[in-house]
Amino acid sequence: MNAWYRTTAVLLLLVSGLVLQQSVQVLRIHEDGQPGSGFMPFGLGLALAALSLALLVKHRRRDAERRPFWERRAWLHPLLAVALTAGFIVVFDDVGAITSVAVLVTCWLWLVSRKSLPISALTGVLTAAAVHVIFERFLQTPFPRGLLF
Amino acid sequence: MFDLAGLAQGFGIAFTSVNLLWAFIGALLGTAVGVLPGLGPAATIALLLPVSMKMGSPVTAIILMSGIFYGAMYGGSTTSILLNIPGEAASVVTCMDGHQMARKGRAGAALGIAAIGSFVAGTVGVIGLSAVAPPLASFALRFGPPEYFSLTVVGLLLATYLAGDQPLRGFIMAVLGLILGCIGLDPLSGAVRFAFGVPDLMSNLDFVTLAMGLFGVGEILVSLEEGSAASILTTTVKNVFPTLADLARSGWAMVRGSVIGFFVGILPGGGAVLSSLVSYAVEKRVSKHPEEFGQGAIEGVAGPEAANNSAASASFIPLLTLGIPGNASTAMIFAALLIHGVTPGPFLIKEHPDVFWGVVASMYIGNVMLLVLNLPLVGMWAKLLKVPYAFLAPMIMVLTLVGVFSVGNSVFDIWVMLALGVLGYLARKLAFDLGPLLLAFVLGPIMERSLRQSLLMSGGRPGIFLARPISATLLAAAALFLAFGAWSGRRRRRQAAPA
Amino acid sequence: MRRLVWRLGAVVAALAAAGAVAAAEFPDKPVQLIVPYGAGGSTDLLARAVAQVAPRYFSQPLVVVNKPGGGAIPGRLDVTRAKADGYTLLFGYGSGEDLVVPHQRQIPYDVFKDFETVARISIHSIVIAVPAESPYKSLADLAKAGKEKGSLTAAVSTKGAAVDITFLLFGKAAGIKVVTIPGSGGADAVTRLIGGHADFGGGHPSEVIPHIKAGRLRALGVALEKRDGTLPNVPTCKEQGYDVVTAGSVKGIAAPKGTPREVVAALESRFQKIAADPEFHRIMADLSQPVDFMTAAQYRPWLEAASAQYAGLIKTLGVETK
Repeated sequence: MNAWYRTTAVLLLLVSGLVLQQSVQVLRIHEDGQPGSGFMPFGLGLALAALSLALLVKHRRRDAERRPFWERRAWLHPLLAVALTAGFIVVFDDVGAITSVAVLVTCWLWLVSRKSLPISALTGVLTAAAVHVIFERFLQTPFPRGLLF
Repeated sequence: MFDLAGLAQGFGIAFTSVNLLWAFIGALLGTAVGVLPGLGPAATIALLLPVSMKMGSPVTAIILMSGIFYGAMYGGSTTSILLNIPGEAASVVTCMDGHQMARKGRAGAALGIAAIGSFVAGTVGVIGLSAVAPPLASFALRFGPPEYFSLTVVGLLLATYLAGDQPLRGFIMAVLGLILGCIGLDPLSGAVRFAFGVPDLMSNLDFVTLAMGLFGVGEILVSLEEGSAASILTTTVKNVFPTLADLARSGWAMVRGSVIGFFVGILPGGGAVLSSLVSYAVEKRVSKHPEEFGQGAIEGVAGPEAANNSAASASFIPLLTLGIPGNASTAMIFAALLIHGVTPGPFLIKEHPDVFWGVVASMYIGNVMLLVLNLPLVGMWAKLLKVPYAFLAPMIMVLTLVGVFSVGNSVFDIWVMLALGVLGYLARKLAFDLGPLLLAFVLGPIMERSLRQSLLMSGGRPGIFLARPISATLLAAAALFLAFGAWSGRRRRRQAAPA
Repeated sequence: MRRLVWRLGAVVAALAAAGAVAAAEFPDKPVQLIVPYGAGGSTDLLARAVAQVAPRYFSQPLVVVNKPGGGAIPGRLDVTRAKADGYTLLFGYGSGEDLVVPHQRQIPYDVFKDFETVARISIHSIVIAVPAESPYKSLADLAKAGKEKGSLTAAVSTKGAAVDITFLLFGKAAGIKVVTIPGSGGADAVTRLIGGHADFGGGHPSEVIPHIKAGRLRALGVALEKRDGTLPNVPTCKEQGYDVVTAGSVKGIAAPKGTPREVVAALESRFQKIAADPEFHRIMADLSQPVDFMTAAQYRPWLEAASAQYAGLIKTLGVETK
C-alpha cells in the first residue's frame, strides 16, 4: 500500500512542478502591484508540492507485504471499457451519434459483459432508439448525423 | 410583514386548472431532466422559452419554469443516490451518504427521505419567501467581493472536512480541484491558463463533464474490475419506504437544513452548494453517531437535500425582489419575465402582485406535486437497481457520454470526461475522496475572483477582509473551525495511541 | 453480396435524388444559429427572439445552439469549420470577441477572412451608471470625485472587453485614474455596482435598464455619437464634453467563408424582413435591446472601421492581455 502512495506523491509532485513552471513562465504572478493570472496557480502549485511531500513522508515505511495494484488480470475489463469508449468518441462525429451508441452498447455487452450476440445487438438497438427519442426528439440535441441516421 | 391576503390571492391564481396542469408538467419535466445527465434545467427552460411566449399570462410561464427548476433539483439527487453521479453541484454532498445507503439496499429509504426533505424545505422556503423576502434581499446585496472570499474560504474548509478521517488526502483533492478550476480563461486578466495552445482548453471545464467523468465513469470502471457478476448493489432492496425510525432520526436534520438553505441560498452564485455543505457539517457535528457519516447516515441525506431545495426557493428572492438572477436557471426565468413585460424588482410585489404571489403559491403546490409524483416513483427507481449491472453499466456509460455532449455540443468534452473517468477510477482505488475535488472546483473560481476583486478595491491592502464586519466574522469562524479540527484530531489520536 | 451492393446503390441514388430536389429551395432543413455564449445572455435572447419570429419568413425552423465557454472563441471556430452551405450561422458576429480580442491575443481564425457577413440585427451601446444613492449626478461630478479621491473603481464584466475599454477611455478623457474591476459577466458587474462595491459601472442597456426603471441605478452617459434609442433621456458623453465614443457591442450574423452568394442573399433578405416585423420589435423592446438592421454591404465596412477604432484605443490606453 505505502508504495502506491509514494508513487502517487511523486506523480503529484510532477504536476505541481508543471503548475509552478506555467505560473511563473507563462502567466504573471504580479501585475501592477496586484495579483495576476499566475498568483493563484503559483500558490496552488506550492500547496500541492507541500502536500505531496507530506504524503511521501507519511508513507515512507516499507510495506510489510507487497500487493500488486491490480489483482490478476483485474485491469482487463476497465481497460477494454475505456478502449471501446475511446473508439466510440473517435467515430462519433462521422458515423453519427445514434449508430455509434448502438455499436458501443452491442460491443460492450458482447465483449465486456459476455452476453450472447443477439441479446447484445438487441439491447444496443433499443438503447440507441431510447437515446434518439429522449435526446434528439425531446431535448433537441443537435447530434452529429452519419451514415444511417 | 406576513402578507396573508397576498398569499391567499396567490393560491387563488395557482389553483386554476391551467396553472395546476403546468405546475405538474413543470415538476415532471424537471424531474426528468434532473435524472438525465447533461442538459440541465437552464437549457431546458431555454428550450421552452418560445412555448412560454405563446402562453397568455406570465404567471403560467413562470409556474412552468420554476417547476422545472426545483423538479431538476430533486431529480438530481436521484442519480446521486442510485448511481453516485451528482447531477449538479448541490447534490455532490448527497452522494456521500445517499449512495452508501443505496449500496446497503436502502436506496428506497434514501430517495424517500430526499423527497420528504425537499418537501419540508420547500414549505420552509415558501414561508420565508412570503415573510422576509425584501429585507433579506437587500442584505444579500451587501455581500461584495471580500464577503464572498471569506465565505468560500469557509466553504472549502467544510469541503475538505467531508473527507473524514483522511484530512491529508482531502486537502490534496481540494487543491487538485482548485487547479482544475484554473484551466481556461482567467476571469480577471483574460489570460489563458494551462491550455497549451489547444483552443478547446481555453474554455473553463464544465461541472457536468467533471462530475460525470470522476463520479459516473470512475464508478463504472471500478465496478467492472470487481467482475461483471458483482453488481453495485449486492443486497436486495429492502423496505422501499423510510421507516418511522428513519423519519425520527432525520426530522430535525430536515428542519435545520431548510433554515440553513434558506439563508445561504439567497446569495447569488454558489449559494446552493454552500448551503448543502454547511448543512452536512452541522449534521455531522450535532449527530450522536458521527462515525456513521460517510457510511450511509440518513441525516447526511436529509439535511443537505433539504438545504439545497430550500436554497432553490430562496434564490427566487433576489430574482423577484431585486431583479438579480443568482444562477443560470433563474437567469432564464428573469428573461422570460422580461419578455412578458414584467420587470422583476422592488416594485414587482406592488405592480404585479398576481405574478409574485402566484409564483410563491405555485412553488408550494409544485412541492406537493413533487412529493406525490416521486414517492410512487421511489419504488420504481429502487427496482431499477435490480437490472443486472452487466446491462446497466454500458447504458449508464452511454447516458453520460451523450449527456456531456448535449451540454456544450462538443466532442472534445467527451474526451475530457473519459480522461477524468480514468483519473476518478485511480483515485477511488487509492481511497482518495472525490467530493472535496468537485466542490473545490466549483468554489475555486469564485474564491480567486473575489480575492483579486477585493484587492483591486482596496488598492492592494489585504486589511479589507478584516475591516468589513461580515467578512471578518466569516474568517473568524473559519479560524475557529480549523483550530477545533486540529484539536479534536489530536485528541482522537491521543485516545487511539494507548490502545 | 450482390444484393447488398444493389441495395446500397439504391439508397445512394435515392439520397442523391432527394438532394437534387432539395437544392431547389433553401432552406430544406433546420438552420442552426450558433450562439457562442450561454443560454440567457443578451446574445442568446436576441437569437431566440429572431428564432421566435422566423417561422413567418423561413420554411424551416431556426434552431439556437449554445456553445459557450473559452471566451466565446471555440464556438466561433466551429462555425468557420462548418460546411459553407448556409445551414450553420454565427449569431453575435461583431461582439467584443470579433472587434477587440483579435488586437490583444492570437485567435485560431481570421475575423474577416473566415466569415461571410450576412447582416447586422442590433447594436448595444455602453452606458456609464452609478448606484441610485450615489451623490454623482453627471459625468462632471464623477470626474471631480475622481480628482479628489485620486482614483475611481469601476465594475466591469471582463478585462479588455468593450465596456472596460470605454471606462478607461472616460478616465483618460476626464484626466482621472480609473481602476476597472472585472468579474464573471455583465449581470455580476451590475450586481456589484448596485451593492455599492464600486464607484461607477454600467454596461449595455439591456443589462442596466431594468435597474434604472426600478430606481437602483442612475445612467450618467452613453458612449455613442448619438443618444441611444432605448435611453432617450440620457445624454451622450460627448454632449457633456468628454470625447468617449465607441462602437459598443454589435450583434450581427455571419456564415462560414465560401457560402454561395445566393444563399447569403436569401438569408440577408429574410433577416431584413424579421428585423422589420412588429412582433420582433415588441419582443426586443421588452428585452431593452434596440433593433438596428444593416445589410451585408453596409455592415462589412462598418465592422472594419469599428475594429480599427478599437485597435487604436487599445494602443493608446495600453490595455493588453497576456
